[in-house]
Amino acid sequence: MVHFTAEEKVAVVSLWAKVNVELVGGEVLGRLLVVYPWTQRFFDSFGNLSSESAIMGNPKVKAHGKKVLSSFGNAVKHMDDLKDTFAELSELHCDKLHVDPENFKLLGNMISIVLATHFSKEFTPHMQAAWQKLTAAVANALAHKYH
Amino acid sequence: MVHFSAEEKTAITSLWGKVNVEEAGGEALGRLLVVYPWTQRFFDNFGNLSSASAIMGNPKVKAHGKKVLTSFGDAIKNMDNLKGAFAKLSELHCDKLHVDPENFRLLGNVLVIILASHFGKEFTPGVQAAWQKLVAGVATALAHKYH
Repeated sequence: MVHFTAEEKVAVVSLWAKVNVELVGGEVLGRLLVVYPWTQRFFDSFGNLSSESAIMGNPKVKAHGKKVLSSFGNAVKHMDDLKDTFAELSELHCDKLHVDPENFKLLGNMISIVLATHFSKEFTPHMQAAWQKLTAAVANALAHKYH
Repeated sequence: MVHFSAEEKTAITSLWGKVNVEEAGGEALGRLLVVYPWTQRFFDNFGNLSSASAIMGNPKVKAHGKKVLTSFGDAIKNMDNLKGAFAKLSELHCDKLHVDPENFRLLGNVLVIILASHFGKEFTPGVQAAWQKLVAGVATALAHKYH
């Protein structure tokens, strides 16, 4: 089980409090679809994903991005118990959605990058390390129930 | 061989034109050492690497970071022939430095995050995609001569 120090928890929680989940969620999912285009295969019903601007402006992408990042907010509240927190979502992503768990790591990368664009110098090396540890742990938790 | 479109090349070179190589290089190497601490093993003679602030302020880290990022500038001038451009450095990193090539991908990730934090909104999804393609191409080129 991943262990977060008190400092790491403070770094994660303090930055999270300033995150506009709706805005950042849409941007994270949008960037995933632009930078790793194969991920678009999971979102056939989302309409126009034909260009960068279409993706970033797509209302379904924004709405789903907000949903995904809100769920990430649970991770921030349960940093000591990520596997249980994400157990049901893990089963869902395996059994129903058939998502390759590698994509969770890619989404985690996107979160770090979007946080960096928004928070700039405030996204210090220490902050970056704590967030990358969290996104890696969430990716593992989401993969945990795969079979 | 990786092929970059004209748009991707423009995205990369126009951003690179605004990068302070000395500052960004030091930050990239520093963040690598903070976020992925095992990479410190390659820099035993760099002195004090005992904390994030020690690492980020360490003059040898800054100097070597500048050297590494200057070399990255060569990649940008040779985007159509990365393997050729990095052949000698690849041999060096394998035969003399014994660096696991996975670390080249980590450095690439860190560089993308630094660009994101420096350029904010200007680091658009399209620009990000081009840069991620480049850092992946450089990592592959640096691993190419490994045996």
